[in-house]
Amino acid sequence: MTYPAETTDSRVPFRSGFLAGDLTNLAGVRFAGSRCRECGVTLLGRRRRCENCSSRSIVDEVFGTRGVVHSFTVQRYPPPLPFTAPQPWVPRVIAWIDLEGHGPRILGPVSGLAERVEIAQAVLAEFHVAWRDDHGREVVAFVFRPVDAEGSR
Amino acid sequence: MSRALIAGVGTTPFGRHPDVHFTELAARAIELALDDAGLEFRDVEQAFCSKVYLPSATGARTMELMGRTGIGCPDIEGACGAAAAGLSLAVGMVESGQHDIVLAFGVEKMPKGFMPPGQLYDDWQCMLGLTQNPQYWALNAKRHMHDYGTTELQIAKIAAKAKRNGALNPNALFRTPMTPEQILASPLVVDPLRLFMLCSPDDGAAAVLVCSERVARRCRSKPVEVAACVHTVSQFPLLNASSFCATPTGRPTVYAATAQRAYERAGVGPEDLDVAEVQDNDAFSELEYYEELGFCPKGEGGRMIDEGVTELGGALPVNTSGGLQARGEPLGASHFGQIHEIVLQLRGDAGPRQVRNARVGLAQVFGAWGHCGVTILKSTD
Repeated sequence: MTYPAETTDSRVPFRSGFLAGDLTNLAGVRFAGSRCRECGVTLLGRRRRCENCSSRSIVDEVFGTRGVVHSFTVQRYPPPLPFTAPQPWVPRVIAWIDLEGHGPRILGPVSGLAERVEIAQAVLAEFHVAWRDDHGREVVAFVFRPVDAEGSR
Repeated sequence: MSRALIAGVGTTPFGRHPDVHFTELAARAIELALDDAGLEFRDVEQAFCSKVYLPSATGARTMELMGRTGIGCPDIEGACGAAAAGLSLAVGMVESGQHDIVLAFGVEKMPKGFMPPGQLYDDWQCMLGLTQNPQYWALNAKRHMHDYGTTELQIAKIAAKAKRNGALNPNALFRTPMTPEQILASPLVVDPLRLFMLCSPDDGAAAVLVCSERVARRCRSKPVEVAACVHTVSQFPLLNASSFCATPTGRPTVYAATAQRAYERAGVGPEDLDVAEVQDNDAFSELEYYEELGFCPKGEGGRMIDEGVTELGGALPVNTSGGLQARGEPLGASHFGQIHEIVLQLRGDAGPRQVRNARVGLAQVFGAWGHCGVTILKSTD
């Protein structure tokens, strides 16, 4: 798998070094991250050093798309600009997600109704074109979708 | 190492000052601090200006009003912890013997509502809409309720305490008491946090004169000792604004770690405190800080408010000023506003908010990306 994902004339990751795979095939995109050889912590994104212990001894790692909700809240009002809020605004869940395989805990939006989300809920990361950058390129970002324990629903 | 003392404090009302230039706000607070100490601006040997959203050279621009006496006056930025960063530098200069009189002040002018995110978040966080500061506090509240059974009513009681104390503070933005029921009837912003549980960004300035013992002893007001002033940036992980990756490591939170250093430095523990001001950017965070600062064991923050421990008249009154919830938050001035309240308390000058026989007080501040400051002050009686 391409690590990190390559920027093309038409598509870029939401942040350089944070996605892996071929951005033209969204189903195959994954989170790119790092694992520290010294302290063992996992981090989202390719890193120069370990954010936890400052070690330079870190390895690239591609994380799975499954995770569980550590905690969640509901944005009852649209976030401030430059975020482009759908009209009319539908309250949106955001959550801290613990990625499977002792992956990193990351913050992200959760799709669907707030009533479907609870602590320890299983989720699946999905990658999609979320906005266009200043050069008109499609920006690939992520959203978590609630799933049942087997991964369907 | 010399002792550093606070010889003068001054604050503008925290609130809306639409027609007052930020340098004028800063100058008003500085004049009050100078009058309080009985010092002249010409006596000041060094100044630090804490600010976040105001433009470059805010401190130097303030010299235009106060007089260009040739002293240094850099701007100090550290998100909502900016004032703790500035104060720690002023204290360090006096403790080291480099100067006898150092001015630390902060000023900000903020619009209502969610803070403009570009200053606090990376572009992609803005585009993903992960930029409502209260979301982080809500996420921590939700998990705390799950783990410890903390209730919305307990959170509302803390908000009601803030409004009640704020009603006694002429410098507060919100001065109308509210019941927990009224607070629980306000609209949800980020579950479980409601509108009247949140602080509002606002305008204001506050100033502190940090002096050596030699100078402080001949100043007009009763000096207060800076027993510790510690400013740090969080270790990993940071489960608060503006973090996006917070894998658990077992390390203490930045609030607990910074407080621990301050307690050690001051030679006191949480059991020695008589009064405290903590970063109640929302009512839940205050409850969390009861635990993180060691006022009670983990999970018992709700009990603290149920038993009235942190109310005026309780064993450890917290946010007697009304806190950020009642005073609002002018970022660069925020910690100085807390210091102003603790100094009044330790001098016995807090009027209807006075805590009886207050001798040791703590002020704690937290800002985006992990800035945290803890200052411990002691009466010199």
